[in-house]
Amino acid sequence: MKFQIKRLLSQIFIFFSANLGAIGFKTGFCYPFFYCHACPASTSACPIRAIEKSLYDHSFTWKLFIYPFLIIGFFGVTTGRAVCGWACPIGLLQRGTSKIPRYLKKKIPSIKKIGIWKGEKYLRYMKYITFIGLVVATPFFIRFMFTDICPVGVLTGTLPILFLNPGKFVPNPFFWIAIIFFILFLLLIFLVERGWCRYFCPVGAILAPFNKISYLTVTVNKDDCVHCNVCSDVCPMGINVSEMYRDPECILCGKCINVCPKNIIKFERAKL
Amino acid sequence: MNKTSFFAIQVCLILVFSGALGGVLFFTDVYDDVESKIVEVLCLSCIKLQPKTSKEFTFQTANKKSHPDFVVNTLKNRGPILIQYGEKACAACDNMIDNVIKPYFDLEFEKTKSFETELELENMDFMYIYIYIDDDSTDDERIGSFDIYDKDHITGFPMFTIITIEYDHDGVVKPYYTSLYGEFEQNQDYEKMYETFNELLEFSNELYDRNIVGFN
Repeated sequence: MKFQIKRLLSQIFIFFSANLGAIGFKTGFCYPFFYCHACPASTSACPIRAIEKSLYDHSFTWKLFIYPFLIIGFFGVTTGRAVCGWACPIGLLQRGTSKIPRYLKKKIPSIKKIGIWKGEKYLRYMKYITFIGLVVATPFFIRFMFTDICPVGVLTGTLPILFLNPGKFVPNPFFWIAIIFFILFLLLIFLVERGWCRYFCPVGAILAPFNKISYLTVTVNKDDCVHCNVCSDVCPMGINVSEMYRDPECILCGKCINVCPKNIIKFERAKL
Repeated sequence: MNKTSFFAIQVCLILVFSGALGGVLFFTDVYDDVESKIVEVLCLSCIKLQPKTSKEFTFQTANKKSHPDFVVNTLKNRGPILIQYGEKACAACDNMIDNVIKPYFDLEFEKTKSFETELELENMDFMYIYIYIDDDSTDDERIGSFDIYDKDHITGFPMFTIITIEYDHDGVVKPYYTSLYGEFEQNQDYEKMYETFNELLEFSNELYDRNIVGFN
């Protein structure tokens, strides 16, 4: 379990690094994960905001468009979706809430069905639809942005601003709509482990395809696998690990590696 | 695909992404743009909040810097000023232009270009200056004036600054301004926003006419 403590320390360290704006340290980088630059303590920009801004209202600013893709892509080609498992503050939040959906899954049969429902694998495409629809298409064509209803923006931007400036702000007409999405976000992460990463995260949608070609990956020696399914049971992303090969959903958290009784699941670097 | 060619592709991709990222950072101004136009400022409609700001005028600039030359020159030679600060991908900026500035001030303009024009409104003359921070041709002095007039330290867009002249406590005539933020009246009441502009501009005109003789 030492390994998972290292991962926790990495998540905590990056959470604080992402909030160095609190001591006045602001940069011109985009986060390679999902975090709002409207957070009063944020260090860098949300990649989604940069993409939306580059495409807004039938315009195209190429620099601003490719910049977040290059940052995310750099991490993607080297470590795949490890950013989700090792760095993202929203991933850390969902790590904190993960015991609740696991408990509910055991106690309530209908919740257990969510994870094994036949259409669940199709629901995972929602994050790509969210990205192309609400981050690329609607800002370009109708000036409606994902940012307008972003639940992570409410959690890390809107609510801290309200809390730190009591009486200085009042809600605008989009506030309550965004609050509804925020409540749905909370419900999701309390009902489905890593529900946000699995189904809706637009940054996850950019990172996921990189798992297919990343330098670092998780491999399973299928010849020696006894199909005990312990790995799949612990997987926070609900992957059938024993059948996995460079799965776009894998966040390289290493939980499967830690529990495999045969030690046949490994982190592997590309080599000749 | 064999192991060697897959490895070659991975190495190439790492080189391409790191090289391209380095190139973009080194040869373009995207880092500064992201820092100054995304990280350090707020799009008020994006945070789903509206600042409750006062309409009180003040002599004290927000960052204690002196008033920019373009403001001082306009005050000397033309009249009171209404500055609108806007940015790209800001619904409130667009709403204010489409529902207040264009219809009530009878203006037609491209919202992605900074410009200035003299306006006459109900027998009041004033200078309307539109500063769009994402327009690369906008000069730094104008973009920098945002921090000077960010009276309530909101750092949010859109921001409207009305500047006139008044005698300060030492008996010297100085620029005197107020700033309003976002869609500053409740429930997107655009008519009320126009009335607020009208009221503040009327007050500015009165002060300007009264004090221009003493303004050097």
